[in-house]
Amino acid sequence: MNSSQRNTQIAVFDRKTQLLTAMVVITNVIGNVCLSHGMQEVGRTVSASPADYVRALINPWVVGGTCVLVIWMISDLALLSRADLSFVLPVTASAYVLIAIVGHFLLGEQISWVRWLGIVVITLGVILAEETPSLTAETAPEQPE
Amino acid sequence: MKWVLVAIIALCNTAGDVLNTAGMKRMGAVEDLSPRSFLRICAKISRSPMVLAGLAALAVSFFALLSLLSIAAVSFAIPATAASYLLETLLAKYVLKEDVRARRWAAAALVVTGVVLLRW
Repeated sequence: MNSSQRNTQIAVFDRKTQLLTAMVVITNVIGNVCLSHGMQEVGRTVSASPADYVRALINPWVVGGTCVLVIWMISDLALLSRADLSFVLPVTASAYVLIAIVGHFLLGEQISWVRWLGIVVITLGVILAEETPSLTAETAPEQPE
Repeated sequence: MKWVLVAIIALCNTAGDVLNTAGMKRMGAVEDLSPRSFLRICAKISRSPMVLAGLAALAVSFFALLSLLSIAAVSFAIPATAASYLLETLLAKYVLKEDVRARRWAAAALVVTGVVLLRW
């Protein structure tokens, strides 16, 4: 294998990792926002009756949010199979930023200047981590199916 | 009790992430991102004691977080998050043998600082 073939392979590997990272972040944001919205709809009634808790579980936003978070968990594991934990942790933290911004514009949550500052600082951390190579630890070669 | 819960959240979260990473690395890099491949990943996970233990640890951490939030303010979860980022980055370097240099330490530190500000 010559060096240009090898470079192409690395580029394809990195692009898939980026795609999976985007999927992890987006499913995390959608799942949490749906769950938060659903629980607020349900949460207006605080009750000792178990029926109200069953109703929380059949709220479409709660069900949808939970399903999306299951996909999030699997994609997170898939991402960990091909990238370092010390890369995945800071890079996927961009979900915190997006959840705050979506909460602000869609759910009407207030963002104080301290929280805006937090959003900027996390974004700087994400950008810094994005510039490091995604995989430095050893991985097992993919097993044949 | 609050600090016991903070410790449980940080330790279980760290153990869960490190076990999941080690278990998934042993399984080999996931190449195919199709829905069918995701089902195959689920099947492989169900046969991996390491990942199952990791998911169990994350579940314990999640329920400890729910208990903490029911008896304390949200800001009480901050030290747990900060401690897990620090511990996980340390274990990534020394146990998972990842190449953690200044840039990644700085990234982890910025994210922790940002999360602290976000939850203030």
